[in-house]
Amino acid sequence: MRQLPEFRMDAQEVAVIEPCTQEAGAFMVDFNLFQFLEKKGNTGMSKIDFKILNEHVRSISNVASQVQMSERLGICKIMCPKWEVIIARSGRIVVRRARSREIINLAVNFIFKLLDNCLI
Amino acid sequence: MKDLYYFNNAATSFPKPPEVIQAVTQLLECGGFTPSRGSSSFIQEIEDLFFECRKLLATFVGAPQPEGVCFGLNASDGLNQVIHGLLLGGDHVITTEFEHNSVLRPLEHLKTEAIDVDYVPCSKEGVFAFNDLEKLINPNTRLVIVNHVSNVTGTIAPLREIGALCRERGIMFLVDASQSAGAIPINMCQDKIDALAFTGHKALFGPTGTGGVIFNTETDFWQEIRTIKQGGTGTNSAILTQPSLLPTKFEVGTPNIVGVAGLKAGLEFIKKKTLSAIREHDMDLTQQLCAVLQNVPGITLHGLQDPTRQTAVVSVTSSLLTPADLSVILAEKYNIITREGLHCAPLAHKRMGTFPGGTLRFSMGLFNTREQVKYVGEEMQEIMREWASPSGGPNKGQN
Repeated sequence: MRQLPEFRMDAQEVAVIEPCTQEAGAFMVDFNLFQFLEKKGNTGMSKIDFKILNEHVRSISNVASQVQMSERLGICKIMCPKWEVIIARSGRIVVRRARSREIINLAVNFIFKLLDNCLI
Repeated sequence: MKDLYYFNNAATSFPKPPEVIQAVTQLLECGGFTPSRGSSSFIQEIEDLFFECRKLLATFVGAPQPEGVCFGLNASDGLNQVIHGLLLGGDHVITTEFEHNSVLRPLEHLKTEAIDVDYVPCSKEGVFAFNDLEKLINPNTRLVIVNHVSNVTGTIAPLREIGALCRERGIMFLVDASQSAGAIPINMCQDKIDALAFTGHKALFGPTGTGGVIFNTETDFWQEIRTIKQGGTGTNSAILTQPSLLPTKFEVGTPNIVGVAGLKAGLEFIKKKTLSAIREHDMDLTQQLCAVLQNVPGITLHGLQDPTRQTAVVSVTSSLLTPADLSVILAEKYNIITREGLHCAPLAHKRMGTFPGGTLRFSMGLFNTREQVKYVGEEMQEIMREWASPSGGPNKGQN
């Protein structure tokens, strides 16, 4: 059963900012997954299991142009043509290079699907 | 809770001294009465608080009179007051490539109102030649703006020669002291600075929302500056125009009383510690941080790497990770707080060759220690080693 809810971008859920480090017009979303889930009433999980995630990321090579991951550092970076995301073991998720809210939704829901069975 | 390693003091100093927290709390508990708006003894105390804070600030930056201290929101607010209040169509302004957006954006905006702007070219470390600035002066030059200390590299700009030149040519000299106030000595009279924009929440240890502009009352430039905001001052209430005297000319509405109480406590804290001791501490940590980061493979240091010519700011880039990714790893894995990106100084990064990704900036303050710097060095080593290694590095997990 899917644990993570559908993500729909709106200002009440997570802050969206236009970062100065990316090209003009691109958005950045920076939030903690577990705080987000808590707001949705879904508590009890506090970490991403990077061993499981490591197995799962192998299945996304058709979507991602590059995946960089370090279990030891607890960091996974996934780059796609229209967005990139960095996932930390603590649950912090940072999406960059997305040029519209629709792409942010697409990226975060893609990541949620990937993380669905990796939460402990 | 894990220990926090805070290396983002160039953004906002943290932690604040207990005296600052106490001053803010005490004021909130006792009542934040508005100065000049009543006659009780509490209000007199608030009046005294403001005057004492102005006096401390004026002494701190070598300004001739406390009345020259005009409180606003922050340094950007003070800079905007002078820039928009002074310049008119046809005027010419000189500034440098290492300015913050708090100067760049008002000036770029004013270009649409027939104001000419020239940027003095800088080296990639943020150093510019006095002659290059002098050469840009023309008969329409009305204002020279210099960032005292770069928020990207920490490079300290020489002010005295520029101040003397501006005074000789009758040009107003405005200094952005956002990064320098509380970190290095400033003397407005000796350096012939006509106006100094400051912020309270960085090296002065005050709360956010404090800052403004300090005018040098030895010259009359402040009288030429038009007000960009008008409103109640609690004085001269029968007159429908803005008072023309300092500081009320540039202070409208109820001020940030709680903030000023904290700022005053911050200034007293610095006075007690002494600026020279703070400077010595910063120089020692800068030296150590440069040394430990130079030993991290794949890390490039930017800036002068000379503690005598910079404040405690060290910017780096990595051959393996973007500054943004490095910042996330440092924060999430090691609880080391830094600031990545362009630091609101796009022209500086263009000159440094680090645009648009920027750099990762470590900025230290009085509460950082040698042990913390050592920890940063060790963890940076670990990150770079780990990210470069075939077992845990790039592309793992890729089919």
